[in-house]
Amino acid sequence: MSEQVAGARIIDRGYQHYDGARLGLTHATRVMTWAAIKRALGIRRPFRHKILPWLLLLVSFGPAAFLLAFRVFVPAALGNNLPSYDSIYNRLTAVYLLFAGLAAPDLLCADRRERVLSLYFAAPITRLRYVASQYAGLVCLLLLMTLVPMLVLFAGNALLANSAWDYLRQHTDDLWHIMLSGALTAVYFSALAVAVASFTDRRAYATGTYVGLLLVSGVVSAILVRIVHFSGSEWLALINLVFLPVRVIRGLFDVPAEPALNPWACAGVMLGLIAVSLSLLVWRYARIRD
Amino acid sequence: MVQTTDLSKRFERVQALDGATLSVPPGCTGLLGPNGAGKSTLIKLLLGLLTPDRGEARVEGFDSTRQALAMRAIVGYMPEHESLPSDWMAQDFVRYMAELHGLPSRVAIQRASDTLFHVGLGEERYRAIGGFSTGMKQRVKLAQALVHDPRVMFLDEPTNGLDPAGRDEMLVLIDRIAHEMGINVILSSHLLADVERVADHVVILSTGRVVAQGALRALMTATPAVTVRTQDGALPLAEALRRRGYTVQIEGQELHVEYESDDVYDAIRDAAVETDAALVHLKRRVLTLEDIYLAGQDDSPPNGARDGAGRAVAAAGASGAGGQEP
Repeated sequence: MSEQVAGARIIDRGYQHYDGARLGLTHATRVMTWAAIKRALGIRRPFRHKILPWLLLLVSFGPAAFLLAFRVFVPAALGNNLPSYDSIYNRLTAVYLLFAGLAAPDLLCADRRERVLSLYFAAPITRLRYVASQYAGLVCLLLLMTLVPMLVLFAGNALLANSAWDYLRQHTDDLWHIMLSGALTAVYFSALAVAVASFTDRRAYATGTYVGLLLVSGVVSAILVRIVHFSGSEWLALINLVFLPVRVIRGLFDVPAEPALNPWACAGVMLGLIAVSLSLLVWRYARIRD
Repeated sequence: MVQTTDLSKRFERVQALDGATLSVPPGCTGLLGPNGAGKSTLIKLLLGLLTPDRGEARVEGFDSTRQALAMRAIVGYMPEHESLPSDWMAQDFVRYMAELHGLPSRVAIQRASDTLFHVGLGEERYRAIGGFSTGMKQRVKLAQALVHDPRVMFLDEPTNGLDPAGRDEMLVLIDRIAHEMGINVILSSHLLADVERVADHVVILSTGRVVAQGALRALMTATPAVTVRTQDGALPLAEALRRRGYTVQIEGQELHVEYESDDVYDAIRDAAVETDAALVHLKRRVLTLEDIYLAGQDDSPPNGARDGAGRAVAAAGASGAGGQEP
């Protein structure tokens, strides 16, 4: 030991040049997307940034966890009255939209307000890749909330059925309905949230505007549907931005909804809104001069 | 290292850069000019962040417009404004910037630590940037520009907002980067002393035009004037020299005599004998960077020392890197 200490010396490595590989745009996009996911969850940030996202994430897993726990430990309590997948989606819609409304401004507004974009855009990335990675990060998190709990519930239901194989054969449709519902919900709320967040540098304004927009659309739609009566007036329900995914999900699971609108028409409107929102996002970032 | 040809950029009513033709050799180059001279616009054009209205720019052989992504992988940029995410840890942010520049994650982690040590933030690297002082933030900006081992670094007003000690430390760091680490640096500043201290070459901008460029020492020594100080009246000596065909500027007891060849010394001797003038000082004129800078900014008619400096800049620029803008 003493010989080692005697032979030890401090070496100043000085500045080391790097002559290894420089990875390309795909690597940078993956890095940005992963950073967006960590940022939205408050990872490596002060504790106050972790509270709401993790709370909402836990709530999104709540129904599936409770249902499976009840089915395992007190099966008699539920009997045959198991909540359907679409009803769980319906009840969790507020959680999804709130998560998107809180996370999107966190991903976009701070970078603009603190003028960090000038550093990012001086790196070998494009503006399109930047916004795409922030959006992808948000969609990934919402997919975690919309898909994973339902898939866990589906798997649990299959394992707890008398015959898992029979359950899978009889409910194959549910599986792809879950996939479609989860994906559409995640993409839709994320698109609306990032579009709104791209118009202000203030997180609180962005969240408030986004939630307000959804609430006002619901209120206006409800009032119009009640007071305006003409042939086809039920289509005014399409103004309700929260109702759209609910109606599509019910349509996928073949559950009637009021007003009775064609779910495919609602899905078309949702896709149109997603396209418009993302176009606005790209347009906003193309105009930024920093 | 950096070449531009007729580079121009206009923002609505403002001509930010007007036909800039540059050739910047390796080393540390100071980009001098007052606020609004076009320094930041030039850097953004070189980085490919703005598209020129006219002309082209190349950095390390890459076209700044058509090969912007490839070029940005090997350059570092330290902007003028704060531009740091306040709730990130310094280590995380510098590592993130390394990864955005294409370094693999494991290498980026190691280099982020090393670079933060190099800029003097080794012990503070796990603190949130928002709690840093201005000087520490400047160091983080420098670290993020350095972490991926760029071939060229663009530093936009790196000593802004620093106290004298912080400014001195920042200049020491920049000097090390340019002269020990072997990384080419383009340092934009309106502070002459900063540029004079670390730069090997200068480019002087005024209202969007390049008014002088070249090696700093060449600009400061290649002065086409000889300064003569007399014990008594300088006017008769000046008249005698003018009769011999020399251009002479009078500044108090000093004359600045146009230098074309060493024959001027004989002419001064003969004129002194003719006018019975007592010479107390005779020397090739040495310019300061301030002389060159002021001459570049001043488009007014010839006037005393400033005019002498102005003509000196023109000559030195022509003998330097690429000559002077028309």
